[in-house]
Amino acid sequence: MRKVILAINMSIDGCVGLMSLPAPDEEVGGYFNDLMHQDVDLIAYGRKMYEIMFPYWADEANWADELDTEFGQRLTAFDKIVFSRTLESADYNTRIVSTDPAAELLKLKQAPGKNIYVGTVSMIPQLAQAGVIDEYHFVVVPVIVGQGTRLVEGSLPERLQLKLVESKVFKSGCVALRYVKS
Amino acid sequence: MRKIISFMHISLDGFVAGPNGEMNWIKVDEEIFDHVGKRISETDTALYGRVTYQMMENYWPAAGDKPDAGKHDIEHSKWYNQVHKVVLSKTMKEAGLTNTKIISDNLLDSINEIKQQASSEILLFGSPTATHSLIQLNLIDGYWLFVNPIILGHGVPLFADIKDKIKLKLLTTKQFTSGVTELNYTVNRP
Repeated sequence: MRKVILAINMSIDGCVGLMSLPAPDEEVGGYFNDLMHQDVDLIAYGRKMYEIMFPYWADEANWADELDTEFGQRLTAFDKIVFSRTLESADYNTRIVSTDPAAELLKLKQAPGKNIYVGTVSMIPQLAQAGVIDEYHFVVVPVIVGQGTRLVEGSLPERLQLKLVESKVFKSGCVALRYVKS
Repeated sequence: MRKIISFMHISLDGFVAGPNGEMNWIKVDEEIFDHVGKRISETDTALYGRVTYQMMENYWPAAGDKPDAGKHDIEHSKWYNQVHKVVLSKTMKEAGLTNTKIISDNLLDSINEIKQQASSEILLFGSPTATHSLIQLNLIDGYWLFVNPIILGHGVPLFADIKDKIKLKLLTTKQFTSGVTELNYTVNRP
């Protein structure tokens, strides 16, 4: 069965606001890139994350270097879905899904294909609680933020116990922690 | 100068306790006790907030004397009884306490005075409220964190109301059989 993989950057204290974290360096960027491209053939975004990523990454003007260009090209070409009840159209190989995200992902998991990469913060509680996410990659950035968006914003009905599989240390002091659902 | 190191068990989403102070999700086993025991045994000063101190006082002084006391209980109880204790509290009184200093006001000067003494690093055990006060005054020099493989969703945050981001440098990390990860940092000061 296809696995659903979530990967996210966060501070030591569980803050995930993109503006409060330093941009990933080449090594960490490469880690996310590899995750997204190894055995993955579908990316599922929440609406907010989708709008952060697109049209930005589809625009050649934002491809500053070779790495960006590669990332932008691959991401744009990728098969994507975006969960939204308000979006009317989406470009760049994106299908809009306006039904229940967890149910849709469970259905997609049963369909043939490679793994599904999930890019969202706000949908983490509902997806985690429904047991949809199989693998979690948290890249812990060596900074304390103390405010702003948290990994889970008080909307998790039950604690979520995970199982640590491996950890990887980067030169920048970031630590990637890989968990599977327990 | 001595360093103050905050020693905490945290959830993946950065909480040190559940919304009602629950700590039953914290995984501590022999492997972790053995590991932390080494650093603790080299430490001669422990720092606590009042609540954590009272929790410790209720357990550790006699923990080594219980008939079923394990190796860790005996060792840590012995250490606890001889370590120099510093407690942040506005209400407690020092009289009658052994080897214990109460800091009730003038936190910055009082802590800096202790930091000037030539001795081991100072371990700050748990104590989220005291930790928040010390962070405000930029008095914490390192974080020794044990990340539990759990997302709590809500609770007592490790860090609250921080004005400026605190940049850290990763020193070491270790993965334990229980799924806990040690992250050992020092505070980056310009």
